[in-house]
Amino acid sequence: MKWLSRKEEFLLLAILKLRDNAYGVTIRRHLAEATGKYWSIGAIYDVLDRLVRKKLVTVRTGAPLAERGGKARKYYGVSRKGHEALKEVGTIHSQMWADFAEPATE
Amino acid sequence: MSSKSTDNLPRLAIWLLQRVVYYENREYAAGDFVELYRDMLGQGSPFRARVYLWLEIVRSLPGFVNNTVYWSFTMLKSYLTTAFRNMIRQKAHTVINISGLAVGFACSMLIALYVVNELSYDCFHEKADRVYRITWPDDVNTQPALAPTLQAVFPQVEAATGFANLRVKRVKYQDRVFYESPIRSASHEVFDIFSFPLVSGDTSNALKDPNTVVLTRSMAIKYFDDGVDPVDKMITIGDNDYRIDGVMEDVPENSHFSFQCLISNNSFGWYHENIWNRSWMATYVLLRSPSDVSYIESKLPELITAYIFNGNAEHDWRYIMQPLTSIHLHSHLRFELGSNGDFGNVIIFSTAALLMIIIACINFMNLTTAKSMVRIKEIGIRRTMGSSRRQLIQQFLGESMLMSLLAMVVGLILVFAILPEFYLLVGSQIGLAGISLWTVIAGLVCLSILVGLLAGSYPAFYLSSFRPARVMKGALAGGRTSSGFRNGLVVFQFVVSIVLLIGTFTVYRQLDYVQNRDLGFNKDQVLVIKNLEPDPLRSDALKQKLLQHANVVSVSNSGNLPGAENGRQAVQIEGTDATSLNVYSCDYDYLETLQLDMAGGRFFSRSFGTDTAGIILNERAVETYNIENPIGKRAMVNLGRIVLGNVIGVVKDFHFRSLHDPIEPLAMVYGIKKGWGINYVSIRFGTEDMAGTIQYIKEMWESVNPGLPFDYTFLDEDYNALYTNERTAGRTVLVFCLLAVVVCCLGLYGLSTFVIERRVKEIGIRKVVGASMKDIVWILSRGFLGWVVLAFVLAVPLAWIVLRHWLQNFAYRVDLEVWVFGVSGALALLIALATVGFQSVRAALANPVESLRHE
Repeated sequence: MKWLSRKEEFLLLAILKLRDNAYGVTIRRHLAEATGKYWSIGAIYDVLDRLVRKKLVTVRTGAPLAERGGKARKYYGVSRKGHEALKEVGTIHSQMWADFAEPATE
Repeated sequence: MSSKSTDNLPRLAIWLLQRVVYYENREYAAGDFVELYRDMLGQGSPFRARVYLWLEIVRSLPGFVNNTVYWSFTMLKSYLTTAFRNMIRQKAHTVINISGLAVGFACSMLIALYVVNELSYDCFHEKADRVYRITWPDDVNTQPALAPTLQAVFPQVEAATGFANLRVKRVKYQDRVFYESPIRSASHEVFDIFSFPLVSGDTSNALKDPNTVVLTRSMAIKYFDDGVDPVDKMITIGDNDYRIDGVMEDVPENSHFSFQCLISNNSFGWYHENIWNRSWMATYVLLRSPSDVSYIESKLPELITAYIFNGNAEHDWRYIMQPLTSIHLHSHLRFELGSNGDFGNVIIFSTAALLMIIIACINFMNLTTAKSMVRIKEIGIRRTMGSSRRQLIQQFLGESMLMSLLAMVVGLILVFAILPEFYLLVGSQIGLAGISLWTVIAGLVCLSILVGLLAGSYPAFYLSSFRPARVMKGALAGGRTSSGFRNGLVVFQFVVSIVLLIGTFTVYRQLDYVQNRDLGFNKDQVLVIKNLEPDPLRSDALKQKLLQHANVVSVSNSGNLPGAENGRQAVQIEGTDATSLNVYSCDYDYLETLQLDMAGGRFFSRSFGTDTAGIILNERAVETYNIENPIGKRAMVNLGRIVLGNVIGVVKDFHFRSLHDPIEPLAMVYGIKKGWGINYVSIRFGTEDMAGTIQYIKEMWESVNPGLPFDYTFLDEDYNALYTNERTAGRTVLVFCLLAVVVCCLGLYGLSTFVIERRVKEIGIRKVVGASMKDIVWILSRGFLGWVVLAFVLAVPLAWIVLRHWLQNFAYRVDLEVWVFGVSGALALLIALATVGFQSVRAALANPVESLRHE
């Protein structure tokens, strides 16, 4: 299987971290805080959709909520396949980063 | 909490999200935005919250669009897969449907090729928008002094030139001699006005000096070997030598005038004489700006006053200015430089192309809708399983677009197959006229998608409108709303087909008649040499030499031959009024060579020395003069002042012109002595060893006339060339007839499938109750046969009017016979019967259990 892209990886990690409360707004907030970069709702849904298609995440629909104008939340969770994919990139990362050192300052 | 109107998303935002967000995510994404928005509302002013929301939405757009595009492609792939499966499952249906559309496409593409070519005339000149031709209101030719004067008088005229069509034809370089036509003259400005690129030489110097010439490439190749640069060589045209200033690319086919070479105007005496009282030049000007036209046009009468009438303004002469690019389609004056096209034809053909596409589309719709009955269950199941109406529509549109694209490919293959025949039809190898290949491809793809959408839209909306419950129960969607339209269409197609059938029969009958009618002379086995520079002594020497060959039957020197143009003269016979006669000049052997028959008296004979002063009339001339016994009477011209000679014989009428014209009165004179021209050497030869005989004739010609080109044709070919237009018409009608019949059959096939599919249950019940197969076939077919009969009734008067008009081109013609109409009608009926009958029989043979088991 193809490796996860950097975005997919970050999203999966964010979902993992947020546990039962992973939906559009929270995922975005978490990503923005962790990376210090701007993430648009549209960009998040694009990647989430890709993860759904690859069956790396599971989807659960919540109840309609008044504070969302009567609209429901779609909660995401990492599937087993998602875990494996994360583990795979994680292993590769640690192997590749093992010999990384700051350049010596003179 | 703020009120509902402010804390929800703005309508525009909802609308926007509806458009761009993939539908599965729409609700949730909208919810997310509401949540963000309310958060902001709680923190600050409503305005800031609004701005924030909009920023968020706008910045989200790329992500949403990306996602939606992905899904559209995925769906397209799925539709295409389904479409392919359906097409393969119904092979016959697919083949018929695609071929019908393909024929329509091919037809339209060919017509478009022709139309585009007609519209492209003279557009290749870079300054075409500023070039005008100045003519008289009825005549192209203007005075030689006009072009130089225009250029000198008007500062708005950047350049002007006149073209003269020169009579010289013979061109000689060293040992190579050919006749070239047309040869024109022009001044050096021609290269400023028109885009005629030089292959060799320099446009800034070309044609500036007297006695210079610019050759076209195809002409240069004939005289100069590869690698020899013709520039600055001397070439002989007529009797004068010219220096070659350059070689230009051949004049493109889509130019309204053409030439083999251009001689500089200042080579000729008339150029320096400032001639205003005679007209033989075609004058073209290049304006500095297109907006100067009206000014120049308004000033032209003053020019006429000043130069032609010496300042007297009382005249109504005027010039007109024609834009260069409009000449080919809109100008039909006397002495046009070539044969021009007709804008009316362009309109007619464009309409035909459009009609062809529309008919093909409607036939396609009929067939698809008809076949939908088979798929009605599939649709029902799809809808029950939750397929939305929109998805169904998309699927059907996808299918029809795929069909349409395939049909376009098949159509292109057809076009390439027909192209050689098409070139014959239009008489030239027309190209894409400078339109780039990519534009064409893009255009064709767009067209097929458009046709796919149009043709697929009706079945798509019709099919998707079925209610699942009713469909599953087996009830067919009712509605005979468009059946009148459908039937009308089939009638229309049959009218066209029947008219074309009758037309094809009649045109070919007339051509057959024209070719086989006894012309009064024998046009076969006669070789004709065109002798443009005749000399009586050499002609006689040639005759003697030719007659020595065993296979040469007879040789005649004459000024005229059947099929060629000839002069007329007012001739008076003793005791009658003068009549305009066609005058043929010939020699002793003319009668034998052409195998004419005498009605009385004798032909010119060597045994009567006075016969050289004699004259022979044809029977029609004798009738016209209304004289009992013309032989021995004196014939005079110039109001009786000059005696032409005595009538020595009457020749039987022969068709010396094409059968378009009635036989006219004719006088034949012995022309050799009078120097009336002996422009043709006609040689009747036997059937043996044609190649050897021609070789012998060529050798003799060259030994007698060294330096003159051996330019020969055959009399029958020359004569038959008079019917080129009719043969083209015949081929065109035949091709369109075949296409119309094919399209018509497809239309009828579609309609009959449609109708029969609807009546499957009825047929089943009839069979159960005891109807025979014959009964059922009759019941199913009779409606269609009625339509064909109606079409026939409409077609007959139409065909009769059109064909009577066409036949009036001929003085000698076949009658419009009843059997032609009968046969055409019967043929149409037969075709209809075959198309419908096949379907009816199949329906009649079907087991009623199949069609009724659901009841």
